[in-house]
Amino acid sequence: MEKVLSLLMLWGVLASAAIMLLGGVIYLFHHAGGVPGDHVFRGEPQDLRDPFMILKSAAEMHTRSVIQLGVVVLLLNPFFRVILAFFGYLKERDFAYLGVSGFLIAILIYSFFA
Amino acid sequence: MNELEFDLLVAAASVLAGFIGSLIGLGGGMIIVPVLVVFLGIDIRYAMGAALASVIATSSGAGAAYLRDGVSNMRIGMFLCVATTTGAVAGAWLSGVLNATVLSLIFGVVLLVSAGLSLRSKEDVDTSEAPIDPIAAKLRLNGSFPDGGGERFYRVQGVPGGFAMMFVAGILSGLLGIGSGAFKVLAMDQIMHIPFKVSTATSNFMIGVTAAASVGIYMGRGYFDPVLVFPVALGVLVGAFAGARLLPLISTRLLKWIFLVAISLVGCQMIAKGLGVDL
Repeated sequence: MEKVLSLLMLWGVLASAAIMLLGGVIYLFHHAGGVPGDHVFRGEPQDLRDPFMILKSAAEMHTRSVIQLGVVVLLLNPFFRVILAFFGYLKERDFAYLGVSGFLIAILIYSFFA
Repeated sequence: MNELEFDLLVAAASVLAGFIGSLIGLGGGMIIVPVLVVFLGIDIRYAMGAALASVIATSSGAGAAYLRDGVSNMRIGMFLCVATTTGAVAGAWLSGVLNATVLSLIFGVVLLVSAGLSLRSKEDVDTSEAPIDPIAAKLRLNGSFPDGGGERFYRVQGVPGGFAMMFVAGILSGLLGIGSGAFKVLAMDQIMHIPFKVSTATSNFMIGVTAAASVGIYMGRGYFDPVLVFPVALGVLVGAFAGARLLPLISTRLLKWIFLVAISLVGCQMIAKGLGVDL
């Protein structure tokens, strides 16, 4: 299980880095001369907050959404880590840790919708 | 300064933060947040969002290697994540209630404490013959790791205390967008007497899962600005990777002290910012 997990972690982070880099480079190519706007907190717009809307607008090649998709892939990495562990423990019939990983999945899902 | 120059500056600062972070054993998130806030004038909530993403990136990258080499203990990690994720959800919620100045203040204090913690001795207690803790036995937390050619065994102690400390670490992670690795390692090596190497490796695994518990809340509140996240996350990742590679090659004692002093000053500046004093 450790071997599979470590591969998942490594490739997951590389995939998200590649997506972010792609989106970021294209974004900067178009907006290099723009004014940076992170000094005042406004909160990002809805299409950069909702994973499904991010996916949809990334598919339309809105570059900020492409970067955000990379962020979502990055953020899902630990989630998949826990899911993989859950199935690993299921296979090993390790019921105590099946419960532990089940709890972690539940709290992560809860937090995604909180 | 235009967007391109700004992003390049942020990326350069992030590479440096990741590098220094891996050199002195503090996470890159811990260093990049004050840099973004104090020197680049970015709102702390955007800085926290970007830092949280970088924390997951480095945890996944470094954690993968530790896991492959059998240093981290997955049972310990998974079990303690129950405490850290629960704490993180509470902390992330709290971050929306407190205002930016209070967050800066808390961040400064946590930064100073973490810097102090990185100075303590890394001597391990030998627990291979220690009495078996009934909770640790029931959860099968005891284990071994490859150390200098042989396997070294350890028996985990003080599970309830460590669990409680992990809850605190989780709150800090959610509240400030950091990995709070210093506190996780503290819980494991000081309270639970887990060997330092295993503690840091397992902490690395846990940090990503803990951070994931704040992600939904941060995203829902719009803390993730993609244009800031991408140079920070990529920069810290590259810096941390370079740091880990160069670590065995450079003499770190002096460097470590210089950076620790610098970071402590930045921590004081965050506190000053929180108190509304201009330094």
